[in-house]
Amino acid sequence: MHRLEVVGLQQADTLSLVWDRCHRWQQGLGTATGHIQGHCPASLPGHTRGHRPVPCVHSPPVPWAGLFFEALQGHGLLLPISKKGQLRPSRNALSAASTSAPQNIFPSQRGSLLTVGSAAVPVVVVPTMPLTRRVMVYVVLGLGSLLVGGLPPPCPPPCQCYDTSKVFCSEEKMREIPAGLPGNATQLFFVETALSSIGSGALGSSTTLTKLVFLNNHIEELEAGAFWGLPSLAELEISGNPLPAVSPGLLAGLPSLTTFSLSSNAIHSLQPGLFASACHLQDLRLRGNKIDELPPAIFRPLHRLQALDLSQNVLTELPDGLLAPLAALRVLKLSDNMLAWLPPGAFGTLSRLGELHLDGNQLAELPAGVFAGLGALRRLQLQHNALGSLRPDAFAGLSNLTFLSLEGNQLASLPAALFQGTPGLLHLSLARNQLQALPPGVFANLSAAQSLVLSHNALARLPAEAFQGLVGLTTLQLGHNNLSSLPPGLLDGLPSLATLGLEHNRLPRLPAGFFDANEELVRVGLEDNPWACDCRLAYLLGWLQVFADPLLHVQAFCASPATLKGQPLLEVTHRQLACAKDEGQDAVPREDAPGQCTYSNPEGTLHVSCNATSCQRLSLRLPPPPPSQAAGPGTEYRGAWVLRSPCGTLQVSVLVTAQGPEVTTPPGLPATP
Amino acid sequence: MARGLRPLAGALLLLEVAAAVSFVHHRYEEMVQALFRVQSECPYVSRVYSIGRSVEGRHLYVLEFSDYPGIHEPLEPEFKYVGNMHGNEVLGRELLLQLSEFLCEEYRRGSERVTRLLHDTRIHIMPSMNPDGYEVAAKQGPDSIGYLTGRNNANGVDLNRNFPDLNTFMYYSGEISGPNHHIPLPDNWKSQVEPETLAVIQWIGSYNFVLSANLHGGAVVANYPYDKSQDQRFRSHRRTVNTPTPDDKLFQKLAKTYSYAHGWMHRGWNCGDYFADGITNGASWYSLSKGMQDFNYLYTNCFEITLELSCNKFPPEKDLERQWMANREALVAFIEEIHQGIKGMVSDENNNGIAGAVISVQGISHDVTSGDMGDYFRLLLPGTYTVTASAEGYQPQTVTTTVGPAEPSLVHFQLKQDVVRKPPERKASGTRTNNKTLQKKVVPRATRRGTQR
Repeated sequence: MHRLEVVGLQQADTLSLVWDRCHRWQQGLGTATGHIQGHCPASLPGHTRGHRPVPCVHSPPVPWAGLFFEALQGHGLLLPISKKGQLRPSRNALSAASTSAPQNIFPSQRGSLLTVGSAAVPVVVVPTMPLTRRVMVYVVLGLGSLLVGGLPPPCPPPCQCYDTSKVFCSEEKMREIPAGLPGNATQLFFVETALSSIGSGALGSSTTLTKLVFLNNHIEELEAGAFWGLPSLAELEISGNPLPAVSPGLLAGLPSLTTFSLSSNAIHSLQPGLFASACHLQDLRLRGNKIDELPPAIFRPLHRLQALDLSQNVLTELPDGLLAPLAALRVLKLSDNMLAWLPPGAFGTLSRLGELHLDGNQLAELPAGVFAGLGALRRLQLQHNALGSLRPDAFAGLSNLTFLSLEGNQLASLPAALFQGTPGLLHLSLARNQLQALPPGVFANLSAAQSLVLSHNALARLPAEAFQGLVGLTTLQLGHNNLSSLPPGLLDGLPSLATLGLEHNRLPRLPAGFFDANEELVRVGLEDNPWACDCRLAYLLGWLQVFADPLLHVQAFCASPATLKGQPLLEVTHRQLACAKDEGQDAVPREDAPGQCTYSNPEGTLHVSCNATSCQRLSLRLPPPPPSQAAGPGTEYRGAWVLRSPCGTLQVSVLVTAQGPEVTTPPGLPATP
Repeated sequence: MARGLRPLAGALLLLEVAAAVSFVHHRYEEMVQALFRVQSECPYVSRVYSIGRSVEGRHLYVLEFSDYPGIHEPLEPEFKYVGNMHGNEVLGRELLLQLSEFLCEEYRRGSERVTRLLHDTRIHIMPSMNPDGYEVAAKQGPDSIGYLTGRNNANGVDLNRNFPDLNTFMYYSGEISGPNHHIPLPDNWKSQVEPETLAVIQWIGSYNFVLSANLHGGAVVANYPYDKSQDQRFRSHRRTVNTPTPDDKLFQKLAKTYSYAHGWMHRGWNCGDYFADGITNGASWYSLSKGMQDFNYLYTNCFEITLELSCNKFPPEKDLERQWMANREALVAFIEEIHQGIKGMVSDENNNGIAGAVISVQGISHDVTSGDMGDYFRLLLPGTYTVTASAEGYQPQTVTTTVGPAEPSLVHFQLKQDVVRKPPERKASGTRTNNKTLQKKVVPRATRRGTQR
């Protein structure tokens, strides 16, 4: 019989050792050391035995630790220490303790395991705390006493231990939770092992464990009580297993749990009461299962839940009131289910919700007012549903909305007032619908918007004022439509535009002066249009050669005339842009905005746009500097030209003085085109 | 800028999507969780595997994306990204986690560009080659003062100075007629490298990688081979001298593809250094011996470049989103570069693939070999080339072909057996050995503080 005595422990440390030991004793798993004076308290608040989940207390949790400690003192306990201070009692302690397994690696310290006295009684005393706070433990054995301090905890051979508290087990042949997990572990990982079930009490008990993760194992069963005795556990993840179901008492005894993931298992349904004791949960991930139905009251205890992920399941409907208790919810993901309709008040109480993901469902319509009350919503994903029409007030009240995707629906038209209530939108996608036209002023309210995506629709023409009001827009995607012409002035109200997608339309040309208001524009998608390389293309060609980054624009080719067919636009010279004589005289002024003329030199390196009273825009492509001459301050470039246009000629002389390298080679403007 | 550069028109297809991985630094445990989370979100197009373990036993995890994960499809090239080889250069690690999440989300969203990429390419992503060093650096935290803390592995070895030195062999034999490709390893190489290096060498020997990038930090530039300068005198005096490969123009284009798709790399002035177009030949920056980049080129079919991505090796979390936005297009565009040049099957008269057949391009003295199924990939710039396929026991075959700017040209070879019948020898690319013991050379490790790749 060995009696163990502890002196000089701090309260919390004593507590964890005692609690660990006591509980094991009660479970009948005690080991050879066992002679305990005193006894464990009958029950610990927040931790019960038996399958009945503990109902949540909405007042702050009872400080059970403190109570327990007082009880201990009352008993005047002589503290027993398990022979190894381990998470799990070991039946083969001798081999575990005396094997210096080669794959058993301590990163920082390779302490020798301590054996005392006769070889038959290996004793390793491990402080259940970080090594920086040393504990002095006297072990009183029949064979003598020993002073032990600051030894690294043992690590079971199939695992690796880091920082003395993170345990990582990824041995693919591991079929059971290994014996000898260190008692002070804070994180415990099982990755791609052969574990097929977690038995009740298999993990023993620990007050230090805060994170327990099972990734891609073969777990098919979690016994009720598998996670008992882990009062500090804050994060539990069991994902990537063939697990078909979990028992309703699974989370009982985990009073500190804030993050729980059951993603990518094979769970069909959740039983009522599963979260009854999980009232501190903040993050719940149930993604990637086969859940087809949820009990209406299942989320009732989750007042503090901030993120709920139910994506990639097979939910066909949301029961009335399912989400109503989740008043603290910030992110709700219901993507990739089979929801065909939504209850009108489904989200009514979620006043703090910032993100709502409903993409990848089968929603054909949105009930009136379904988003009412979501004043905090910033992101709404409705892409890849079957929405055929939207009510004018569908998004009314979403005054904080910044991201809205309606991509991949069946919208043929939009109500003119659709975005009246969402003035804060930054990103709007309407791609992959069946839009044939845009109602006048539909975007007029979106002065903050940065990107607008209208690609893959059936737009055939756009009114000149279609994008008025979008003064902050930097990206406009109009690719993959049926556009055969664009009105002059279409982009005049978009001073910040940097990226424009026009690819895959039926555009033979663009109006002269089309980009004159878009000084930030650097990327234009032009490919797959039937560009007519005649004199009316001069404006676009000039713009490309001066402002465009050739890396981004080489895939546009001439479709006509026959002599230039297949030629990349960037390789066409202005001299090649011919028109039949009368055609050229007629056509070009028509293409310019009324009263406007674009003058250029034959090489196409210099363009000036003028109207009757003034000239607004001069663009000049500098020749590369001679190799010997560094483009430093003081570099000069001058020239004089006579420019021509259908309106007449213009004489221009230019002097450019470089002030620094960044002036002569601005980003995006290649020095040698 | 050369007109031949592949267009980045795809840039227009990348739309704003949700950032599902939050912009935080991931410790080893969190990185593992993140990798498996992506794998479970895209189970049909992804796979997580480990190529081995670090000194301290951490797994070297790789996330693979492909329409058939785990399977090499003939004529579908293999790509890899390797991050965090220096434990304290952490941006690559986080960018690769973001990229993984991004590819998964875009695929699920039905993005044409990413769907095509995953169907045509097998992409291997290793966010951390030095997980032990990372933990050391992470304990010190961002903007750390100890500039090199965590750079090396747990044995204190710089992994980018730990690969077998094949340059020396090549520089000495190359002056006569020696090979500059598939150079055999010294007999005792396994005992001379670290566990992480060993795992990577075995990894790149068991997949027929075609293109890759190694993500570092401490500068902003795309660096291409050779890293080790050829002139011994200059090396010892830390002089720098441009040391191009026979594929120099191609490497420049690959590097430019990244720098021009990057938010600011192409501007040249970054972190107090200037690199024209944001690219540099490694040796012309500073000479580096036993690096991974040169090893890829000299031992395998893989063309690797080294990307220096941030001035601050351990940027604060608030910078991560901006960095991701600056690198996202570049990371995708660089993978797309794998689809150029020529590729095809080398088979015998019975249409059985011939593994290890040698593909030579006239005028470029760097051969590639066919993979286990007989398929080969040769990255080339647009132009007309004379290409010869040869294999032991077969008569060589030569064809002339034209390579365009977009898709790779398909050039198949069917080889006739030699008149003198010899049994065709299967060369397994990972098991080549040679009896010659190579000269070992001690090269000073440190060069310039702050810009070591």
